[in-house]
Amino acid sequence: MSEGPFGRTPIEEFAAGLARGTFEATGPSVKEYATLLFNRKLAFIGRRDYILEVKAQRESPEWLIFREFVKDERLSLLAQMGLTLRDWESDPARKKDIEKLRYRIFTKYGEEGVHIAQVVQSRVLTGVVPAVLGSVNSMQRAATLIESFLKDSFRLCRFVQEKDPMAAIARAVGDHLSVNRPPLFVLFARGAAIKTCSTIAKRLIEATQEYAHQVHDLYGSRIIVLIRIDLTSRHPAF
Amino acid sequence: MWLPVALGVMMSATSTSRGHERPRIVSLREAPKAFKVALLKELGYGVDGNRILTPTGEKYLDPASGVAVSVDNMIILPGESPPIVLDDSPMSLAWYVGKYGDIF
Repeated sequence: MSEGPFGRTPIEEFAAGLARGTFEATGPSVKEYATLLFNRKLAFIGRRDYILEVKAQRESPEWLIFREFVKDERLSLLAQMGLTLRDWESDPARKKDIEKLRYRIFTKYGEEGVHIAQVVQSRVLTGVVPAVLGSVNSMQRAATLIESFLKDSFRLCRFVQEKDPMAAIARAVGDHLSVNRPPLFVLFARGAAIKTCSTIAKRLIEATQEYAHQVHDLYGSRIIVLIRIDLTSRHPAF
Repeated sequence: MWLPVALGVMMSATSTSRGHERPRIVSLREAPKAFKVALLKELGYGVDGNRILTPTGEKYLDPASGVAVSVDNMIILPGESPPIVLDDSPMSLAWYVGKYGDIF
């Protein structure tokens, strides 16, 4: 007998039995089921596709890399949900699932939580990780920077739209960089907004001497990572 | 009374990622509402229509997402004690696996 997707075949038989509406009058009582649950011998599940997706995601190379840097429980969960949203975004059949998941993220973690998940969904974090790894000389420092970026991504990642006012955004981001001196700042754009994003980035790069930049073009999106030069020079403090 | 017949022929024992014996996995999707309500009450939860209540009568919220958990969309997984009732969503499952290990 071959193994099923949960690593064992009997669940398939069991699920099939349930689907047929098979009942047995002499089976366990509700009380006995409760006892099995209390004793960790039973789990009542719902949609199997959700379980399979969560399991597959936790084995994906991208997640295995993220988890090395993202240890905070809230950020870790939001990062996983970002990956889930990405998995679903190209499938029209998952539109309702996407809405439900976004609602849950918003309910628990607010607009900031939705933004963090979006940072992962849009592959911004996928662009940030190599930029950081190429700039610091310890895993611990890399983890701190990546986790800090994700935590503060509401302020450190700008999703640029095609019609955004370029001069105003370049000025606002430039002021933020010169006043707050964050280690990282990211501009993200997709499709027609890439031109707008690149123009903003060009103005920023010309205006600041403190930041180097990396450009990542991934799946029709542009991710421009601005990274403070005292990090890239492997300053002793880092 | 809804009673799954195959409970006695489940999988052989294997270990979870936290070293516990893997629990038997049963789908609640085909279970009648009366069974779910009786089970929730046996576990100490309250039920008001489709809404699950805490033992003290307050609306029960999913610990991962903060949404109210409904009888129609719940799962019940082993935890410390008592068993944990969760909203059936990837967010709750990922939260559970992160906290208690992969039992599936």
